[in-house]
Amino acid sequence: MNNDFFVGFRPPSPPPGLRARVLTAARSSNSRSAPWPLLGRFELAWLGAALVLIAAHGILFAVQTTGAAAGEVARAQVPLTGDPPLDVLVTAEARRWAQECRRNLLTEVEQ
Amino acid sequence: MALALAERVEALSVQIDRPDGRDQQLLAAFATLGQGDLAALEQLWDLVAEQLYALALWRSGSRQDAEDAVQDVFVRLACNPAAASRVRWPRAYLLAMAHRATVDRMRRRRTDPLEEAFLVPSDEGPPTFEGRRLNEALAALPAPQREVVYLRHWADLSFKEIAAVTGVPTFTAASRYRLAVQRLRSSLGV
Repeated sequence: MNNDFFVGFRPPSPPPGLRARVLTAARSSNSRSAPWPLLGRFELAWLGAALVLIAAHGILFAVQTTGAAAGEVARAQVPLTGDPPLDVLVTAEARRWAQECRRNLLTEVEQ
Repeated sequence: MALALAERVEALSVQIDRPDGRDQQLLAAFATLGQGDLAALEQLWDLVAEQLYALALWRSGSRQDAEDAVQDVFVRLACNPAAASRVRWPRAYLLAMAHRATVDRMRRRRTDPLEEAFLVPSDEGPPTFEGRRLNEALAALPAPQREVVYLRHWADLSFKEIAAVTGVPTFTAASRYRLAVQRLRSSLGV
């Protein structure tokens, strides 16, 4: 740069009241400083994304757990015939039939 | 982000040995601030406020943005005084903070007022150019080019240092300066 450009000039100085304003603001911000002002935009963005992921994972886990439990309860409460003593007999017969099927299948496989 | 900035400027300071008297005073003030003594802020103001304000003004073209950017710098220093003890070249660190604060302010405002005087008469000698013409020529420059002119001419930084302060490659800093000088010569007819 040709220094002659700027001969006789200088950049302007800060206005007189700025010093007090800035130093007051700095001191007050120090007294109430929290950890998050130290984070930049990118750190905050990553932190936000991580929180969203954790929240989404928690919600999905809760929905799955609740759904499975609700399914078991619903299955346990559905009447088969409308007559509770008969339901017990039908259930026992179904279990016996399932065990017999499994036994037959194993026998066929072994032969 | 603040840490990345500190590391970038620290890396720069390793390569540059500049035993400048004012830089030594700045280092002492940073050491005091690093111990949590906020009285060092006043000393820092006396040492660098003019440069920070002028850099912000040349970058933003707005007195209001420049004042706010300087305030942002000091508020950030006060919020995390412990970080000051890790800084090895405080002037570049502060100039980089002022640059970043100014750019953030300009993004928020999204206007380019350019109504301020970038230079005022000094008592060094008779001016070569008329002040109004010179200020108009500076106002016509793109903000990044005007900023490089300030850092090179008034802050006396090398292009490598300017690159570290403004976060651009050294070649870009030098190129901006060359283009700015060309435009100034063209505007002033020299």
